[in-house]
Amino acid sequence: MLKALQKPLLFLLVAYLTGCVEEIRVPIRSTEPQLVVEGRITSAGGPYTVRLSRSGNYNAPDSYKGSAVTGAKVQIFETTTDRRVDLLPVDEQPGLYQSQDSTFVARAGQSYEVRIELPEGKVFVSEPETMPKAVPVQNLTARFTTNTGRVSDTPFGYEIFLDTQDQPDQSNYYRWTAHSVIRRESIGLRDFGGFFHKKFCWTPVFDNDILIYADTYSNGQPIREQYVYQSPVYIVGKHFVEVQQYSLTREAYQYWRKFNEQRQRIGTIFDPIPSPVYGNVYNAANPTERALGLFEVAGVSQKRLVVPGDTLSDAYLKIQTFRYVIPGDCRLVFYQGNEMPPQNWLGQ
Amino acid sequence: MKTKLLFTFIFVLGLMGESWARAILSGTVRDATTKAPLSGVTVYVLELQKGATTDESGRYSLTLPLGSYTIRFTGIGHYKVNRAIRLMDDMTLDVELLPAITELDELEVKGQKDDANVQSSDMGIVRLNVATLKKIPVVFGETDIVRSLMMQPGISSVGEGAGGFNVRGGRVDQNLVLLDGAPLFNTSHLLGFFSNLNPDAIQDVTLYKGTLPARYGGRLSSALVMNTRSGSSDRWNIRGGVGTISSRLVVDGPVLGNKLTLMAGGRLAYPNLIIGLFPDLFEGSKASFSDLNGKLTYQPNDRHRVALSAYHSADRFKFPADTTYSWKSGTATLRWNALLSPTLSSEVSLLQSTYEFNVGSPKPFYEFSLRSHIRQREANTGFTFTPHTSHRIEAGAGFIHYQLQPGQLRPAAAESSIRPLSIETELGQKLSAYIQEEWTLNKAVTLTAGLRYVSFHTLGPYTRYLYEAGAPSSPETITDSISYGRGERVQQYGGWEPRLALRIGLGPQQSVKLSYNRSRQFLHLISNTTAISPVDFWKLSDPFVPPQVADQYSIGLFRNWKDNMFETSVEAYYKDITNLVEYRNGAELLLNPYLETALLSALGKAYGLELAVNKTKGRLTGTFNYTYSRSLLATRTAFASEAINRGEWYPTLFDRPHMANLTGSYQLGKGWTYSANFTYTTGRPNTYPDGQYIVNGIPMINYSQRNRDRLPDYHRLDMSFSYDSRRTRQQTRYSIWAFSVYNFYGRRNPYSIYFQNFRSYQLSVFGSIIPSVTWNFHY
Repeated sequence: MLKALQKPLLFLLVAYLTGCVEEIRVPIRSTEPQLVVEGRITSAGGPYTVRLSRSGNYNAPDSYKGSAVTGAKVQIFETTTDRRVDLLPVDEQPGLYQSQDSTFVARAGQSYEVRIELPEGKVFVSEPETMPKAVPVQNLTARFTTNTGRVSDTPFGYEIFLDTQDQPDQSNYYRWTAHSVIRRESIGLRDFGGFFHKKFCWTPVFDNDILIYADTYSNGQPIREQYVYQSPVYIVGKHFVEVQQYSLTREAYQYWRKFNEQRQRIGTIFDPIPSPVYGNVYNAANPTERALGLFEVAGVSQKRLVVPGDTLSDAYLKIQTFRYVIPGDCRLVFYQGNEMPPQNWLGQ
Repeated sequence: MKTKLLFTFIFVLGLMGESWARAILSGTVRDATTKAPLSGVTVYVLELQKGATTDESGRYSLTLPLGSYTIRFTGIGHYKVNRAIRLMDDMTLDVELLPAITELDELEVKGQKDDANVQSSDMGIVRLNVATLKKIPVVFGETDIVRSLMMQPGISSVGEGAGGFNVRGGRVDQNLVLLDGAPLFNTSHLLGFFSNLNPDAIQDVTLYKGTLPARYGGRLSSALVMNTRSGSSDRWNIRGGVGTISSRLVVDGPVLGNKLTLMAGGRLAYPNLIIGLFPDLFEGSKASFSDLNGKLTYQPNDRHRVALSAYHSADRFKFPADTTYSWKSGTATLRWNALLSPTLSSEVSLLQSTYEFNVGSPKPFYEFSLRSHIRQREANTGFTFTPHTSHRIEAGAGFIHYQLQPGQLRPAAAESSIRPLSIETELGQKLSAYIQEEWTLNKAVTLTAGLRYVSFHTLGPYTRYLYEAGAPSSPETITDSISYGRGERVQQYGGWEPRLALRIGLGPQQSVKLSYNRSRQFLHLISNTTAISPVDFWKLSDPFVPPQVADQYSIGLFRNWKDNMFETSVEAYYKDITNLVEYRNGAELLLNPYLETALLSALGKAYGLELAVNKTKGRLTGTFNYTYSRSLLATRTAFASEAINRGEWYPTLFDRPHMANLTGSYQLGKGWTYSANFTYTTGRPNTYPDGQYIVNGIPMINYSQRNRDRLPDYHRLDMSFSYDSRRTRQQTRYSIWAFSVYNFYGRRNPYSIYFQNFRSYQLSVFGSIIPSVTWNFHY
């Protein structure tokens, strides 16, 4: 909300004052790789995952793409009790560690920390944090839009808005994630009769935007029409939407706030001064050595929505989106394509 | 105590050896056309090589042995006048100076008299001639006092369009900017592109960047002292200008007889005209700014003068269907100057200064308005006693009351989810007293010794949070809180601030000067961005934020050549600062009730060498200066994990090692003048990425070393032709046309470099050649 204040108000002004932007090359330094931790434990039950990697040099994507940290020993502790769970490496995804013990379920009110022992012997731990209680989502609504921020993708989509009631007498920090299953079209496979089949399928789509909100300025008030997701529209069909509402700790919220701030820099002298974005993980033996990334301890609730999607004109959509109809078997050319739509989405 | 004794000793020493046959020469110096009193005019006794300066009411006073003398009056922007007198008894000598038209049209700076730079003990002082500012090339034709200062050695900013200025490696909030004695908390219009001072309303501008006179205090780096014009007691004058961004008008004249005079002026901007040229980009954006000056002067006789002056400046910037920003400053000063005896004058003033900003957002369900406010009220009294030509004693005392509202959030619609939130109002008071003696021991040696004492109190109501020991403070580590009642003293800070300046003449054409200065600052601008912005707020010292303290040492060598045609100087300084306010990485500042958890304490040091050559006479005048300077910072924290750059020294955002300025002006004849400026500075420090990684599938950039890199160098050439329609000195109706070209070779100077999607971009402001025309008129 008050991000508006950090919005470098002058940027527009700057531009009109005969300013100009040009791409340049700057000298790039390289630094020691740093450990990057992406982990989360929620009240929703496992498996819980932690992903370990290392940072690379700026503008050298090759230097970090293969930088998964394998061979580490990863454990999550419930510090308020004696419970703990081991996270074991997932073979298909190097760097990913996952809990196997399905009896270990995290609970709001308990405190959790991660312990990571790297192959070279260094031990990183997170600050123990208490899991906040989940806040239920009240309502989801969808609104058709023809304006998407994504370049070279469909201009159509359903914007999903969420309503919830903030809890009074406590500070709440929210984060929303969402995905949807949508209908796609490909050219399909030609059978012996010359007909195309396997033309339509259902595919999940995700969005990795970090959407957060703190109730600092609206404690106990309803949260209304909070934008959480945009489900892209290519052809007429239902949209099966699922939204997670996380209750974050203040630390985690601050981490994502800084994370977004870093991404939204637009280069005026009214931007906050750049700084490294550290979370709650540090070297146990030398606390000044911080890991990038975060171990998130969050309560979670979720809600689903089915958008009928039948009010749109198929012909009109097709004129705009025909170029996204690609050759091949729909089930194979789209991620996890499935001929059948999800069943019983709303769980009734 | 020892210092007091020393003072008494110096004073007594000075009084001894007085010859008895003495008389007082006093009088008032006025402008011959407007009849307004002129301050800062040098009154110089050629035979004795002694002099004095006129005060705010144009008055001067000298105690001389009886005899015959030639007295020379020299003022900025005026022809000098010599008067021969025979002093037999106390005598009054009033003088009127004619405004200079061509001869004194040197670019900007002018010492008070030809050899003032060598002869006075002043050092690190810049005086601007406001009248000639209209002829120098400026951006969009806006004559700008603050921007003109940037051509002086040791003065810089973080970039074009950045508000405020940095003096000798000091922060923007370390400048005391006084308009008729009242401090201005913001000097910018349009978020920093223009300064909010109407050049037609200002009479004189003096910047002290080294040793501050003892009467000024409260800021570490400099004092920029500006006085507005008094109305003419003779006739009504109208002056003004029409430019591409704004227009201004100032009228002045007698109101009742010639005892009461009025000066009133305003400036109105129309940036929307330019915004309108880019409808695609800015549809619905609106910007506006304006400022007003007024001064009422009552002078019943030559001994008393009462002036009431007021100033108001307002800005507004609105994005379409989005946030509206507005900010305004205001001052009001009541000042009474009295000449109690020919050797003793006094000044009493009451003043108030305010600054506030408002932010409003119409976002549905989250409509809000945010307001922050600062108010300073002040009462001052001062005396100047000149018992003898070789002694000038100033003493005075002041009281300041501060009230700050760092942030107040309110819902702006019934349906808004925003809850009212108000950060605790900060209250404080400051008492100060000073004494200063300027002692001319002999022709060669002048010593100015000042001592100032300040005592500051943070006052209740105040809530002091106690934090867990042994861990970085955060809202989670609060263990308890203590509440202080209204008016209760929460915290006291203060101490002595010595000011010393010594001049040693080495013959008539050269001198060496030394100075030392200590100052304390109890008011801090909280800003974690590269440039200050109008929505930065102020904070008073409190138990967590001690005052910033600076010690500055400087030495200078001054020499004039060829009958003062060339002035040269070398000045070096070193500054040591403690308790600078810094910010934790990613700190949240605005509306933070636990602001102390976002702050760090830092040490600062700055040093530099300034070389200057001025040519002050002839058809071609100009100045060249070069500055080598550094400005560094190191955080001091109890917890290593909080330190910026591991607690090592790193450059501040305005650390610019090399700066050079060349300004020149050539009289083409028939009223035409050609002027040019060239400026070069090292690029400011910047933080470049030094790593990248992926979180949540999003590639992220890492910036691990603050200010380790630098923007490319900055350089620019500006030119202007101006035409002055005056043909005679007495002409009161005339125009000055200025045709200027800013950034003549259209260099795209880097304003910032930023990184998006792993590409780097350079943003330039004023990145092309900008011509403009301004018409200034006097009627």
